[in-house]
Amino acid sequence: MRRVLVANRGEIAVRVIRACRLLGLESVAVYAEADREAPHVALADRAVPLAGSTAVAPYLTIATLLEAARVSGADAVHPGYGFLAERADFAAAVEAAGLVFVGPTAETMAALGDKVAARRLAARVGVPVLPGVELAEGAEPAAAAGLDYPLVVKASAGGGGRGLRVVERPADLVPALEGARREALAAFGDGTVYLERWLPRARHVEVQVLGDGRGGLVHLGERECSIQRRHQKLLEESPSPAVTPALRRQLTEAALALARAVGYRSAGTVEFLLDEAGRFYFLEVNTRLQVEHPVTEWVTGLDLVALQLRLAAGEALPLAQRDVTLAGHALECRLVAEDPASGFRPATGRVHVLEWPTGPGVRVDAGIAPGSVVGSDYDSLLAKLSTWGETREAARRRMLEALRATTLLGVATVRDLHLALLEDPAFVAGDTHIRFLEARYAAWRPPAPAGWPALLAAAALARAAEPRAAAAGAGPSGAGPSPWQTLGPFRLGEGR
Amino acid sequence: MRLYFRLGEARHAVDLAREADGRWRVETGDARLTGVVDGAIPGEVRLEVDGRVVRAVVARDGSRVWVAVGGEIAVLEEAEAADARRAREPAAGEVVAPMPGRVGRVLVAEGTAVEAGEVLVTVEAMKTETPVRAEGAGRVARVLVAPGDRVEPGQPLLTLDPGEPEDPGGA
Repeated sequence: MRRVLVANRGEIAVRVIRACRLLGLESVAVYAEADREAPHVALADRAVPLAGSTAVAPYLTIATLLEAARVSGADAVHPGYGFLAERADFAAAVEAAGLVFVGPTAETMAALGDKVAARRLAARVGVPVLPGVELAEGAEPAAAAGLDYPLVVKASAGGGGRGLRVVERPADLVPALEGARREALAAFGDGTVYLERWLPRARHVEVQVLGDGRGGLVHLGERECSIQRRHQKLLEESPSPAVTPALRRQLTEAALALARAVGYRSAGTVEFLLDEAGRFYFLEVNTRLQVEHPVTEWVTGLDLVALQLRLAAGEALPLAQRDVTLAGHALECRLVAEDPASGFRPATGRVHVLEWPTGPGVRVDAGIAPGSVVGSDYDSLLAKLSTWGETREAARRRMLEALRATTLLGVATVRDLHLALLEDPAFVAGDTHIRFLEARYAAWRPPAPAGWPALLAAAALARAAEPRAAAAGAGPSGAGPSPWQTLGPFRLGEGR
Repeated sequence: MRLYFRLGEARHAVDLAREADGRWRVETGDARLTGVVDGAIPGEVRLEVDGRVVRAVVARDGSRVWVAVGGEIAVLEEAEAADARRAREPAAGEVVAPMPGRVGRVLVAEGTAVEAGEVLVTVEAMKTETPVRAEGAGRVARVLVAPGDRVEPGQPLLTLDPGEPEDPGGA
């Protein structure tokens, strides 16, 4: 294995390219036309443009990616997360083309990617599952009759919150089933759904596993990802404040039992719901790297992407469970381009100014650079900030400082929401659950800035210093657009 | 020179005067500050607040001005432009895009009778489908977009003639 094609974009493509470089592997970036100026393209050793009808299509078209691998002479493919990362047919096609797929085998992905089959497997190896029922395409919802509400409808082929609906009352069941089926069919080409008990006060806790497919298998502790909007994670941490050493033993044993049953190779995550009484239930397995892998890297000191690449190259797992130590506490805040004050609507724009935090225990994984255009075609994740501390409180304080030192001008993000969350007494106490944001932040608005006079003064000064602005600002405000409105983004000091 | 900005709902006046040494005296509300803009670093303004010099970063995007000072970030809008935008609020019967994105599904046609809350169009952005609903009952007068069209926030998607839907089979 010498040259790795990174079949992804954004921060995860940057992350994988860096790991390749550390291992002395060449990297090949791919990009759609909309990503021509994206950081991952500039960073890789080579870059291959992809043709496609839309901005997203090229990253989802197996034949296009395999052709890019062929022309670039790549001998391995890393899928990142999202896009084709959990598609068994992609893994199979990569291997059929004589290339290495950096991930589990296609058989493992097929077995675990079908959520209904994964649920059955979990039950078979003694992992607790929630009461539920499978509904094949077109099946009547009458089968749900015996289940207690609230319920959740999930797509068997789903993931990332797509095709997932919460049903509070029996009357809402049929519309939810129809909606979930339509969404699942459109997104995954498979309308099979299943119904499960929903535990609104539960926490989302997941266990990272790493295996070589030949008996080498370890867990890397758990992460808690309860802070979610639209069933998508926003803030994660490791360890979970709710997991005791005894519970950790049970959770990790359950995750390892599942992974062992399929002879798991590469990095994978077994997700659970943890209820208020400390009972846990199987949710699903993600057969890929997770967005939130940095928090595990912080507490274990391991490089998960480098390990994925080494395992894919045929190495045996270079560590045993006794070599894994979990130290301190790590937090991750996803910096997404969304407006939390209007229902997390996607925000777009150009990144005019971008300054990142530095210092001990602070890490930034970014897929944007100054000048980047954030459009509406791709996922809203711009970057991830993660911090480590000896205690949860130390990691939290570092994150507050890191967020304050993050200056991104030009695109609205959830930065200020993260600042508020991190100072929320319930979060500080570790008292979180999967509806935390929904319950406490539905009506959240960013607080008025304490330093408003300085903010106003700076804006006014910048404008006053513009030669043309002086005339426009001094004159009466007449009708018609001022020259200001017709100027492009300005830079102070130009034209002086 | 007096400039006006909107910050949230509030409209603020900022008075600026350039002194002989080239520094600016700035007054807004009860606050008095001194500022320096020398263009040494594009987008950067230096402010003296309570005897200390702090750095501010400013970027303008149309009529919106992004500012960062001391760990706080705000988006201000030139008041004149903000007022003009408010004056352009959707006309009666106009249904507009709530965010930038692409039109997903168009669920109604010209002449369709709709009820309040009925989904008319979906707008997709960043993997998320947002339904655009009718605020009141009415009949679709004109459909202005088709699936796949790129739309900007505030862009009209269709127009509705208000009123109770009539029975189209009548008479």
